[in-house]
Amino acid sequence: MTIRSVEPFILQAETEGKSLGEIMIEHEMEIQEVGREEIMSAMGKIWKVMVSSINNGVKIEQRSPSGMSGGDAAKLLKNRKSKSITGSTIIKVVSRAIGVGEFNSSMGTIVASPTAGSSGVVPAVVYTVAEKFKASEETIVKGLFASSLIGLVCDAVASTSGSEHGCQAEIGVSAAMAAAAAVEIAGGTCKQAVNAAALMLKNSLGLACDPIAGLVEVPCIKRNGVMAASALVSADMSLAGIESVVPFDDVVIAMDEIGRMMPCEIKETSEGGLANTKTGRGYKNWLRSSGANQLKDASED
Amino acid sequence: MGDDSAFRILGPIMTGPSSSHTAGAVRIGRTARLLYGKEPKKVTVYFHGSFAETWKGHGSDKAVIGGLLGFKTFDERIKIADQLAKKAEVDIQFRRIRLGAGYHPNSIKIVIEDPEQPTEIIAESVGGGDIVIRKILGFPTEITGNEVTLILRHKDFVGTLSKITGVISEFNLNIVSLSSKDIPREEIAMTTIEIEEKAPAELEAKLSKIKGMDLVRILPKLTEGEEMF
Repeated sequence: MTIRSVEPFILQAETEGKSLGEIMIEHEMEIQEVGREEIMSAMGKIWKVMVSSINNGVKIEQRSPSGMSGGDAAKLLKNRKSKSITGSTIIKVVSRAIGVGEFNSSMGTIVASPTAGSSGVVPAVVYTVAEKFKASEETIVKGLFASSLIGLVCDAVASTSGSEHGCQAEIGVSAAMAAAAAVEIAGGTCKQAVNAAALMLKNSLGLACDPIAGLVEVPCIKRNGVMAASALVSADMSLAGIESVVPFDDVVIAMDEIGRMMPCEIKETSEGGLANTKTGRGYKNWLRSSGANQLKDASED
Repeated sequence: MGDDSAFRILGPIMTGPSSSHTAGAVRIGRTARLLYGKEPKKVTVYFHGSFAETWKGHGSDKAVIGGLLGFKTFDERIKIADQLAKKAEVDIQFRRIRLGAGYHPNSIKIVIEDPEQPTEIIAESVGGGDIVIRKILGFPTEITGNEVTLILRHKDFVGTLSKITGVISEFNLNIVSLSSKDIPREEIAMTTIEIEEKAPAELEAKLSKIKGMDLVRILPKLTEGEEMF
């Protein structure tokens, strides 16, 4: 069985009076044929790696080998008390998401969620909302399970790969997952969680995947930050009762259609968009020639 | 793991930044080490295609070194694998190479220099951390690591294959696939066999006793140790 729709889960949650996270835990127990404790502790392991990637990421000070990223999460955190416009919660979530992105590009250990390039959003959002609501680890794990339904449906119906459906399928999906997790942790219903994901995914449709020189740095890392903030906004909108006119399942179908229409130049090939700007090509040429020049040719031995 | 598992979306735990240029490179290095059977002392790594150009930004050099030191894709030490190799006095040199159009743009050749036990592989990183071993010691192969794989080099005697499958059935193991290729003039063959279950400890010794057998290696599944349960 492949999950292609959120509707049966919403129905089940409403009939049984349970949250989305709870329903997904029961679902995982059923397919893995193991007890609740094992399921919770396995997700606990995932969470531990996420937390460590945040803690390491916000401390990074040096630039990456390409010189395109590094130290930005720390910069933002430092500035939050003096000159912040948006305030503490947004600044924290953005710097955490950027931090994980920077940690990933500096060979740190992360959780692909759903991919390595989009690995900052879910941890940053869950961490920040949990901190705000003083959530227990059990609630945090439920939030992560709630986010998984969103990712599973996107993956089955459309894609979670930038090379197939552009960045909407990576960062868009991660932010939609994060919005659902935020609602779950804040105590919202299954319907509100899925609705938050719909609002978020709608607002990432059509995003190009055009990384400079094929590296997971520009625009990926800062996009993790901006989209983490959007995920919180989407969650707040849903908790306030704002409904997405287009339901989640239909938004995913739209994402699939748009993904199929997108040209391959903006699907991770680094042939179009930001990668093909003067700046982008400059980095690419410099990196490729310096990479190749630093290696002796096999025939020179 | 199951198509509908939450851990397919939240996972795997991996060392960044790229599944194909980092995680795949770790696995290729680790496969070379497993084939050699112990920590190598002198290694030359050849980067082909995209690896030769983008290795630095993706940390592919540290990734291969980490694999050669026996690390898995999520090991936090991959980041400092070059320093650890130096400390352990493992000499690893990098070169660029053109393997030819028949190879995937993300390919790596690894040569472990040891006159007593030369080891050489060419492997491709095909995406998402998946790899295919295309050559072992010059013999063409198609090993993916999706199953436990037995790698056997032996004299091309009549009946050797049936002796090999006989030993495998003694252990009650289920064969998923079997491929055997020989070099006619040298009368040597390379047989690779995928089995469904984990190989019992005595299997290697028993296979080594077959007449004409000169190399027996058992590669675990690529994802061994990454199970969530």
